[in-house]
Amino acid sequence: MTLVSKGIASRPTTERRPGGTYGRVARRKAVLGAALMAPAVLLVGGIFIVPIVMSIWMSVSKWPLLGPHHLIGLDNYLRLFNDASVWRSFAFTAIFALIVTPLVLVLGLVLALIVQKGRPGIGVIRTAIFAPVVVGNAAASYIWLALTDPGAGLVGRLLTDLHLTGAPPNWLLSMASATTLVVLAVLWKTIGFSMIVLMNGLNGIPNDIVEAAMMDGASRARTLWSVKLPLMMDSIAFVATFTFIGALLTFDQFYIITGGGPDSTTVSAVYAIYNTAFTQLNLGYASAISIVFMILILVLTVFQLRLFQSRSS
Amino acid sequence: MPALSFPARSWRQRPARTLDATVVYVMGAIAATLFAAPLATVLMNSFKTPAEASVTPPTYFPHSWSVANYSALTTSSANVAHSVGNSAIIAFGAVVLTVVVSLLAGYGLSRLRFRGSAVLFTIILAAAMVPFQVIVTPVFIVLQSVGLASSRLGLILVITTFQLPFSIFVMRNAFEAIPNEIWEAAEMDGAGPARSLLAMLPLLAPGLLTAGLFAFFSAWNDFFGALILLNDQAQFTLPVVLTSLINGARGSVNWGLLQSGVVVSIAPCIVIFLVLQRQYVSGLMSGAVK
Repeated sequence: MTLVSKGIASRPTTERRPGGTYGRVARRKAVLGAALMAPAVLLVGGIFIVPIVMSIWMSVSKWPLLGPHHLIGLDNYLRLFNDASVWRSFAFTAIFALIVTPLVLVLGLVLALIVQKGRPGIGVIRTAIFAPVVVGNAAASYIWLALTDPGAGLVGRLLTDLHLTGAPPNWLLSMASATTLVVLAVLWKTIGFSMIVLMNGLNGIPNDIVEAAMMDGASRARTLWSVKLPLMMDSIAFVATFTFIGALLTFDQFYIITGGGPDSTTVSAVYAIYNTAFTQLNLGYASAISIVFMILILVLTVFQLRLFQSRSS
Repeated sequence: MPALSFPARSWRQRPARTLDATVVYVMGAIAATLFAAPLATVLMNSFKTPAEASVTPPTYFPHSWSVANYSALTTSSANVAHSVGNSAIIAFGAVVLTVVVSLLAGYGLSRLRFRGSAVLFTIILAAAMVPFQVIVTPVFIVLQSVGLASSRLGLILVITTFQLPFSIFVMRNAFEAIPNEIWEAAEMDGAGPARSLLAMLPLLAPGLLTAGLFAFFSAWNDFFGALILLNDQAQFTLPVVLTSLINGARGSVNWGLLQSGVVVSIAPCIVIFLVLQRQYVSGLMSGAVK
């Protein structure tokens, strides 16, 4: 009854009906509801919808940071398809994400298995592993920069004291070691999140299913692989997608730790967009790169979700 | 049958369980140490004397403890202390705005529905799909065109906007969790929409706390937005100002100053997390379920 009257009341003709007063109240409520939504709509419209439309317009324009802009058709896109440096940064970003994501998943799962049961004192271990998650990306980058500095960094001192290296290594001299350093910094900051989500997934598996598998003589590894993992596919897919997109969007760590070096070999996609827009001051071209990058993210994400769907069914 | 199998299982598994526990504690302790060590290191380094903090090879533990790096925050040319104020203003603004806007929107979405409100909700949620990083260039132009370029208010609005999909989702759920009878009781007492909302605030507190908590973390920790949208050195936030300590002079970084700045940057996050751990993790999970 209330459902029906609400539906009718939202139409303006209800005032003449016997329930007219109710209709007027309902309409006043609807107007008030719209008014209450207005700030959110204004913000999302102005700072999200408008920029999305604008980025398409900007991508087909010559749009310097200062001075007039004008339409140039698909020139920015044509330039993009022949711009080796942009594709190099896309490829680098994809490889980086493909390194980070499995590591975050596997290490997060191992830790989730360790801290899963609420033994006494486990809470402290969970908290310690999770704490870096709440540290900002920039702060985490400074921490790792300070830790691994060949002069004042404690990692170099530790490695030499353990005779693992003759002298403190300079991580930023090669692309491989610079990337390794960023991977470590990102793992440190994100594994705790993966651990908590996967722990939640593990705890959501009904106990009797696991016990039934054990009774049937399945080993622990077998139970994990064939029973637990398929039953927590939602958590795994969430961590994988979240981590993968996060890794594709990495900027702070590269900007602060490697500065894109050595020789611009560690310029991530967002870093390339940043450089194009705010160093080269070519906002139109930066928008074209952004749009192509966004489409690549969407394609990769859909592909990844498909992958997990087929694994769980 | 269960009575029979129970002793049999516990006999078979008890030794394995104690072994399990040992393995869990050893591996857990190693992992916890690895994850906590960088935080402990930066904290200890920040209390070294400025000279000791930059010495090669570094000392593992401070030989002499000093707060000189912290007093340098206010005296250094980089003006780190001023930037802490900017970060605080931006975080405060973003938290207040996010909480208020999502409280109102959640109220409208769940109690005062109107035609199109469901569509608006979907559009707002969709905003979570497009990351800020890929539309930063037009956002910059939009802010410029409305006179909010390089202003703290502009950055607050941007951070709030990208926080809204999550916070409105949380607030809508908080409203939906209040039983209809309670609203009706308020209406029977003659309370209008405003008074009903005020009366419900205690019930909405957990949702408001979650919305505010995540707004704080995203605003206080924001680097990319502040780097691009703020161009006036007087408005730089803490994470941005710290880059000026490493850029330009990689050979002669003031490591003590940098690390005391980093501690100031992470301390509120760690403290808030430790106090509101449960709230934070459950908020994270509600985002994960979405």
